[in-house]
Amino acid sequence: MSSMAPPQTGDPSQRIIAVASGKGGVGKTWFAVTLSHALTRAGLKTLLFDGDLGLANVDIQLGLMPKRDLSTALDGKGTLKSCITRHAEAGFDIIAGRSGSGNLASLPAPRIERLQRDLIALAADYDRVVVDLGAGVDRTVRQLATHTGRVLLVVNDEPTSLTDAYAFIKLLWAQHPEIAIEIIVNAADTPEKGRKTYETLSKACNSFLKREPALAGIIRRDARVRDAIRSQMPLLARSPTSDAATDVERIARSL
Amino acid sequence: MRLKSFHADSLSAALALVRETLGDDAIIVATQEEDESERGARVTAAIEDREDDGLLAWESPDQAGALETITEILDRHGTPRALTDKLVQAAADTEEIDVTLALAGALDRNFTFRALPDEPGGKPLMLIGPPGVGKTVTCAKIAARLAIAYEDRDQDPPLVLIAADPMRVGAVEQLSAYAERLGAKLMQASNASELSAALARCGRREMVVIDTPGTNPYDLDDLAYLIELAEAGEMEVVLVLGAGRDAEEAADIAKAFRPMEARRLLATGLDLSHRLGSLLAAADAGRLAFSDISRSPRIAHGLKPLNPLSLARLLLPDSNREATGATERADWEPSDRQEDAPLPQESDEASREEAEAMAALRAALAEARPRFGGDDD
Repeated sequence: MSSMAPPQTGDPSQRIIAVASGKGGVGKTWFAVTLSHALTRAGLKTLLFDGDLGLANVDIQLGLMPKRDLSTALDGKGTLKSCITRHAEAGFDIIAGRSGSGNLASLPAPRIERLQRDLIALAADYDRVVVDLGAGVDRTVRQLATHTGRVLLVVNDEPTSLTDAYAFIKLLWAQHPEIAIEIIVNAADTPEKGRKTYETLSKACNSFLKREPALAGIIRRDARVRDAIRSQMPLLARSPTSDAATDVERIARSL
Repeated sequence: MRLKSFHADSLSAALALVRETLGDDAIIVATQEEDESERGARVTAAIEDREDDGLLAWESPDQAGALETITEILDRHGTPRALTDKLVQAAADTEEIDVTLALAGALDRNFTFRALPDEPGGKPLMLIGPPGVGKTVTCAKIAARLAIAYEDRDQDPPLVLIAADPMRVGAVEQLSAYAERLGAKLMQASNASELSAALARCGRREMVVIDTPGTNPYDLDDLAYLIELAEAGEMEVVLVLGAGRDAEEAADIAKAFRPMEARRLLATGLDLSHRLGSLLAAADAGRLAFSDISRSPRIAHGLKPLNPLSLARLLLPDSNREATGATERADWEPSDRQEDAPLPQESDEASREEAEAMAALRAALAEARPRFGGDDD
């Protein structure tokens, strides 16, 4: 894979793409999985890190049963690298989280920082590292969003998704104005409506924060997404020509 | 931010509704004129809530620094990770930016502190622990503290030392030498019924300290003997552990001693060991209160009671203590050797008195020490 795009030199943290959403249930994890797959298909060596420390489910979406997960590293029983599981079919590496163990979400800040340092070191072996952040704006989420190349914030057209996304942007920029936040509008009825959703958010940011996030892409609503999630298969394997698959691949190419 | 949609017959009517409802601060983020799904016009407006600003209360960068330091320090002490995480989380909850105070707060929340009594009249103290941790010397130190207090009172201290360690060669003789120097009564008990009889002969106003054989808690015969001793009467069991073991090992040992129902952990050997994660692990695993620490094999150097603040200071390297503005460092920081430093809560006068008393005792013990002093057991 990496013959097409050899691992870059430079700061490995810039290869990290954090995927966030203010509100849960907007398709964040699905997007992180599908983006990782699309990046891999574009010839980039990719690692998907399940940073949703409180409610990890990347492995569930992919139907994996990883022998080791992030808790191995967090408990000090192995390196972060030793937690990697390979998704053979999709061709990218995964560090699975540990679902439902609430104490991980409340890890102390220095532990998160160490995890982050290890992840950045690991990023040197990859072209792209996609981090699936938890929903919400808590401390752990915000901390994992820092020291990344960019933050992709997934929203849909529900008002609560937009207000929560706005809160995320406001909080993150208040502390880390250097972070590039870009918007992914998911499940848009049409590309035009997707753009309107983005503009609603960007106008609010412009008015209240005097600054607006860029639009990274719009993903059309697509029934095949749900089918893929139900069958625990990657969308790009099951329905590679679907609208949503095409849209995510376009986004992957633009990154 | 709040988002609200307004619907009216016309765009201008909808905009008027926005102003009327949300005021002039509201901004229009989306408008939609008549389409197939809806007649009239729809306007979406946003208004910034003042309450949003409350969300901006991030952990201050200062506290992040303090937590980072505490994590590093606990790791350096070899503290098990889960315990470190628990302590750092508790430190974060204190919202204290001073490293010493944040760590002390975390220790206070996770552990209990119960110093040994320094007055007679309490339950007999039974010291238990693995071999070689300094139980006999600790007995003598507890006794010495009372002896010093009675020095001016023209009477022997109300003090009984019981040697319940019939196995180790020289154990009784060692304790006997200490007892003689300190003006304490010495009794011997080589089994539970003898111990019971010995306790019956002690007065209620006496301080009674029982020395027990070094015990391998994984050896059930050893442990059974110790349990029999402990059941010979009402007593307060104190687990004596040397600092500097592997932390998980210390936790296992503390757990293995749980049948003894010790309530206190007394830590020895802090002069040699500076990595104290094992003590934190042992107190945590054995559900023990920290009592006192011993930093010297010499009787005259005594025991220091621990409290959350003094334990935090023990854990912190000097550089952090210096960086800590909130401590009354100048009042208590030792000039050369830490072990001579009085604890911070003691007044200068008290520590001077203690130093004088210690000097007197040191002289008194000068003869006994060459025979027993260098051996911390």
